[in-house]
Amino acid sequence: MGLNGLLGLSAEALAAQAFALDVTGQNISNVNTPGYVRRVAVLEARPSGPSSNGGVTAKGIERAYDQFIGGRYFTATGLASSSTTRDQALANIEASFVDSGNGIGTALGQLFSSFSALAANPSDSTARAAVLSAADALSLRFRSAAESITTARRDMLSQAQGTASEINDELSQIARLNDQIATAQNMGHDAADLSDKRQKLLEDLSQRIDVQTFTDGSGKLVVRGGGATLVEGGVAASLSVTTATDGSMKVLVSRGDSTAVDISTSLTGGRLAGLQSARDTDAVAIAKKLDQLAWDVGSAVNDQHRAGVGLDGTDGRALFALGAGPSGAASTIALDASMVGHPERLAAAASTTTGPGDSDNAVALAQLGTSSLGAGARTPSEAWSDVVGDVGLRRANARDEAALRSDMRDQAKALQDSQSGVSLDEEMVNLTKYQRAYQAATKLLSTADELLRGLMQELKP
Amino acid sequence: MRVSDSMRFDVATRSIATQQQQMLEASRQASTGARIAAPSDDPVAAAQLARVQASLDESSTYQTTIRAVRGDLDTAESALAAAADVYANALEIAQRGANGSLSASERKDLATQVSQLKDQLSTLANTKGSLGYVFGGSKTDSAPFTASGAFVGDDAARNVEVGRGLVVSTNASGAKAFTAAGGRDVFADLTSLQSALEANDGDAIAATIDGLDESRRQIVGARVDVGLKIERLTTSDTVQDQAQVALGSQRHTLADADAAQSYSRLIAVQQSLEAAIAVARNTLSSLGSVGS
Repeated sequence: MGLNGLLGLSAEALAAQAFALDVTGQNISNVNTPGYVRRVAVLEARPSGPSSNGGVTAKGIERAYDQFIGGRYFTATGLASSSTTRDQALANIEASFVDSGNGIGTALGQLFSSFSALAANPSDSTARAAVLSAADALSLRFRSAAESITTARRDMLSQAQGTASEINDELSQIARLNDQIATAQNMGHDAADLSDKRQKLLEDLSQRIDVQTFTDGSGKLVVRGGGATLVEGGVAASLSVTTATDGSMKVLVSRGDSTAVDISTSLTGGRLAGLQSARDTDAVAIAKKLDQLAWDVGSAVNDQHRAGVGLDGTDGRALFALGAGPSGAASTIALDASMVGHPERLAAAASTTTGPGDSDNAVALAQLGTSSLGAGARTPSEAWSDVVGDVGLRRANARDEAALRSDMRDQAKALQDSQSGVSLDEEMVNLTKYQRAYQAATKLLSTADELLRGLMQELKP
Repeated sequence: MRVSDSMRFDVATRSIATQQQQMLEASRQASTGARIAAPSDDPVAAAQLARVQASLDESSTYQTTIRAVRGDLDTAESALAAAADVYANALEIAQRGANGSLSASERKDLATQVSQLKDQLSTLANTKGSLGYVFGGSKTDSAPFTASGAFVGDDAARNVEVGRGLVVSTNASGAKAFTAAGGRDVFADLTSLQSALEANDGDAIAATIDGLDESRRQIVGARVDVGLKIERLTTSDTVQDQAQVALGSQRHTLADADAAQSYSRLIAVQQSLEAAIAVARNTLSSLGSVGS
């Protein structure tokens, strides 16, 4: 150990503090970069020994990232995104069930009112025309509500397909980054920026599908989602969304040339899961209730109408054109073709022998409005209020769940940010700390230099 | 817990966003006065509201029906009152005609008066209301009595529903008021008076008096029946009025926001939004102040 050693020591110190200052600078510059994980400069004392003077080395940088906290954040993001997606999808459907004076509820009331008006004045052509227009309006409302659900389901399918292609894009980027990170690490780089990039992609991915990650025995990152392996090292799978025979959404995962795996039943988080549950559970259930209501009302009115007699003395006519059963009834119900433009065919009378003043069948038709119909044994207005209540409950549940899940995601994010986020205050302190250390190392250098110079002058011949 | 900058930003953004959302909802409620904008705002109340609305519609339908059929019953009642007067006149003529001191020509004049009364009666029996011939039963499209007084209508009741499950007949039975179905064929009684007067047969004229009186009472009875029907409709109308008041206040409770409450809520939310903004400003202004 000598003065030359001191020079070497100060050179090392300058380099190490400069490195730490550089890392602090990186942190400060990336304070607002999404997905950036705070770096910590790792400085290490060199063990002193016969060949070494115990200086400092910059060992490298460390990413302040906790895999467990990160995993929890992925899960929370997936669940929040799934429930928010479901909530938004149901909000669209709910809009068709807000009865502001022109919905199904009003149209139902108007149909039965028009039967009453017909009973009061069975031979009046205006009252008869009013029944036809009320029946037509009701079937139109049913059809447009059913249509809006069908459209919403179609939109959700194309959204799911769009989401699948975004997922595919992200999966292949993650696989590529896996390869690049492995190469960089083999060459001795820390690859922190590549890891950050991958981190951001995984975060984005977790909004679309449930994501779990782990590192396998050989150091490769494995990404799993929907119960299937999506990325393994440099190999990415690809997702496709189609429809099954019953019209429900089908999500297939294929990797390389292996056969595609159906993961439709194991989606638990992300937009895909939210779309699936809104499309294939909620929308289907609402559509089914609507079909049942259309069928119950339509078939009960038809049965009663067939029992009556029109002004032309003919009985046995249906008022509504309906399919063979409740399935799809709301989307097909219409005014029967034989009734269109023929108000005189409305069966207000109960008998072929009575005159045009016979209103008994019109009374019976009007009374259907307050009778229990169909399998549910509810009046039409009760059945309608049931549909409204069901839609409202589903949406309210979805909204509450979305709020809860979003809070949980925010908490997980706070935890992750607490671990990995940059604090400018902290960096300012670090900046000062490394600055002072650098200044001290400079002083060390100049001291060693002075000593050496003095020594040189003393030794001058 | 270590606090990073992004956490501070997130908290500030989130709390302002939450307050703004509440602010939006509170101002919607305060400005529209409606508590429920979509079923999900209160699913149970929304379902109940749909039922209450249906009951209100039902009730006003009953009232519309009552008001539509009432006019013709009033018409029938006054026609029957006039018909009863016809028989009071006929009775008077019969009593005068039975007087043995009358000459054949005087009886002939009385017969002419009876013939006019007959015309009057057939006009009354063929009275037309807004819903067709009022005494024709279900045959509302053709005159129920021919020129000779033969009945071609029927005795069908014209029923309407005027309350849940309450189906009432809303027509005056022409058959029961004017034909043998009600006990006496009232046209025949007038015809026999006319022919007895024309035949100048005092005994035969006297013999018609009892029949004419019975006919008059039959018509008065029919009028009382119509009066009862009108009264029943009036009662139903009142019942529906009361039901609508009750249902209306129920709807009000379910659907309407309490004005004072929603306004004070709006102010409260407004204040907490301002507070959130102030806190955010405070937090953000202290960012990175170390070292400066």
